[in-house]
Amino acid sequence: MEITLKNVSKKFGNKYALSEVNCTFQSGSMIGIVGANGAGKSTLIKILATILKPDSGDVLLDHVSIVQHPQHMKKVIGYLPQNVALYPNLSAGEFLCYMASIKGLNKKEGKRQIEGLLQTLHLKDVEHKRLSQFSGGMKQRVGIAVALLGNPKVLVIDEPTVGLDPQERITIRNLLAQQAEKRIVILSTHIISDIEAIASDILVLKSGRLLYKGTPQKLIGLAKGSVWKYMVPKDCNIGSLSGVSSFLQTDQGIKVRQVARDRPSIEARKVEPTLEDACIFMMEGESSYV
Amino acid sequence: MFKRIYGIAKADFLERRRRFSFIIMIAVAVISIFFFVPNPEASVSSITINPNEFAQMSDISWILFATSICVGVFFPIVGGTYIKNGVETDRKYGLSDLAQTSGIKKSEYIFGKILANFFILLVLLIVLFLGSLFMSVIKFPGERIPVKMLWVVVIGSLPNLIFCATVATGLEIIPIFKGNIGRNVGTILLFSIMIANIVSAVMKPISWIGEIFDITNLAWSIQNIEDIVFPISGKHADVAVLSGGIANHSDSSLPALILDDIGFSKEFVVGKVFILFLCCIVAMILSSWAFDEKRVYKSKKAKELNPDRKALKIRNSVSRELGMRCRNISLSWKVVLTLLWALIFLCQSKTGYSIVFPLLCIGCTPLFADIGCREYQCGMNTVLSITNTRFVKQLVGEWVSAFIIFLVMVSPLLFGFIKENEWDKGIGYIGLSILIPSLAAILGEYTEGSRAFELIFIVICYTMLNIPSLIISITMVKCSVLIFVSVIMLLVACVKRSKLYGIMEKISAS
Repeated sequence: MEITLKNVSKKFGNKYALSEVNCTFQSGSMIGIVGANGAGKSTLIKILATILKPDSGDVLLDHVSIVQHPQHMKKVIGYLPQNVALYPNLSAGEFLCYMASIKGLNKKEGKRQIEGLLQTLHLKDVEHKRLSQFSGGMKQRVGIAVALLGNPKVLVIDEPTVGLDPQERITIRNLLAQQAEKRIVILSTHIISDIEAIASDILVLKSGRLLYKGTPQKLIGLAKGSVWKYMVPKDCNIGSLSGVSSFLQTDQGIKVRQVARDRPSIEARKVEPTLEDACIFMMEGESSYV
Repeated sequence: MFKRIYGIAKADFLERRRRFSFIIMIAVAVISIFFFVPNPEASVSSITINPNEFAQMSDISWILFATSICVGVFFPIVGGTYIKNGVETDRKYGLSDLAQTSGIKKSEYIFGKILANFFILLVLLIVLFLGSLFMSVIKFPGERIPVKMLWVVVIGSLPNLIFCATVATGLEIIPIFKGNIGRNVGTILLFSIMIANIVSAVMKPISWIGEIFDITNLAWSIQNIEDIVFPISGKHADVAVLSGGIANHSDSSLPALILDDIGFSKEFVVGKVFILFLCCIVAMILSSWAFDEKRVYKSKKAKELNPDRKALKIRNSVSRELGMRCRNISLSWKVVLTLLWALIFLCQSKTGYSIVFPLLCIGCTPLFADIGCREYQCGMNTVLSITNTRFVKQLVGEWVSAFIIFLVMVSPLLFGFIKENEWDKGIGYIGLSILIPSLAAILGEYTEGSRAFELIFIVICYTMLNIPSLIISITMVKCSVLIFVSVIMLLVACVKRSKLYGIMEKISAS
């Protein structure tokens, strides 16, 4: 299975949410879409999910345009929106039954899949509890269960770990990594650690433009020589420095890790970049590596 | 296809059935049965039939018949307004997007929503008729219940429920009826359809449109009464719905009138089939708008603040609330409401309080609807509730601002009454100025939503339109009771908000 975006653009009023995005995804891959808030991640996700139509360009699923024939994508897609969509007064089981019926699953098959998903996602014990009583992580797992109903070939997930505690984020990350083995998983996030160990491809968006498409290793390679570590005085205003990926308060001062093309300070020494550094490197610059 | 439609309807119905507002609606339905039962001794009776020739409420069949008529008259507007929430719920919880990606057809989605609305109305209808059966047994113990009549009126109401369900869905889907103004326009349109239907039903002779498009079943009911009354008395039936005055007082020496011999006429069946067919066509048309969320993004250049302007003024809660009330409606709608308000000054007193003022009230619904619930709807309650007194002061501020607005709304009427030396007619409106904000406060506080108040307020407006004499006939004593009840409602809302009952629990635990 292959998804191809050809010169996809989307405008809202005077503002381009996406501008001439070109890329291809294959089965068996997890694609992480990263970018700052307002970069166009959710717009791209919604175009892939056929909720929005691009103003220009095309999206092809196995060479069939899903802009002209959205049903072609709808048959194979599982979608998890940024805010998990559910009826708060229904139980988890009832809600999954509802989604199974609107996805067109027959009763027997639907029940089988729901039972399996409830077990896999550790929701069996709370099957009869109302969704309004679920924690954020539990709701997210229900959302993933809904997305997986019908055994979709394409999973499109919009920021699945926002608001979750570290343990829940690891659980969700592991679940999604398992799903990527047999389908295309497209995941948008601004939390790099969500995709660090599991994404086979990364897309970096900035102000609607695609700056990078490729493997995480290649992206890290691009940032080599541009990540610095040094110490600044305690009273230094960290906010005034750009490209700071992390800082740590110590007794001697503040240890700063900064992404910059030129040495920012005499004491600064080069360090090996992480994926987070590489993403900052890409987003701070304007060059495109597509 | 039918599985998907049923799946949508079932989930939607279960979701809405489990809300607190549904319990309130059931309670309102149960209470309304007391008003549906004809009471010849009361100042207003639900129905009267040839009061000078027949003893009123003389038989068990009167209760079922009166319920059927009142359901027909009130259900479309009340039910249609209450159930107008299915699609909005999906938009609110993000399920529209999810449904869109599932591959479901737009028509399946719309039919599912209409079916869900129908299920809710059906539950309310069953409650109403069970209640009327209960009242029948109480009022006429030992008498045989006219089961055939019961089946006829219930089955005869079903196509009208489908019509209400379709209209309610349409008002959520059709783009011009979205938003604050659109909702009010939709409500007024629904009112107009109902009133037109009622007027055509009482015309003699009844027009063929009134017979075919009898969405209130009023024409059918009147025809049935005519078929019963004419052979007995040789005179045409004189039916009044929600009538008041001396005519109600029944003379028990007059002969009894038994109303159980009713059935479906050919025109009735044709009319209902036509209504069902029309609903299907409308549903198919509505499907074209399903999932059609046009997001228009206009990048406005933010107004630059004048650096020399004074520092932020901390306003008191009343003036702040007045400002926030007025922000609920657009400038153009404010102009329309102002014109309506000004019209009350210019028109005759009777036209003012019987027509223009109720319409003004309907248009002003957004000004009062968010009292008590605004903080819950946007999540501010968690922040404000930490500051216990601030949260309560906010509610009081909302109440005072709403009181001021309502007082301004009724001021042209009061001015007219004083000018005509009939100041006592204005007492009821002053009581209403206190009642409405209190009702909004308690309903908003307990349901954490605006729809319960919107619904009851529309019923009040509808009642003002149909029984204009109701408010002007309120005496000083009744007004005092009204004010007392209003104060209690406000206090209860404040107590709930300040969580004083938590203190009571601690006291009882110690």
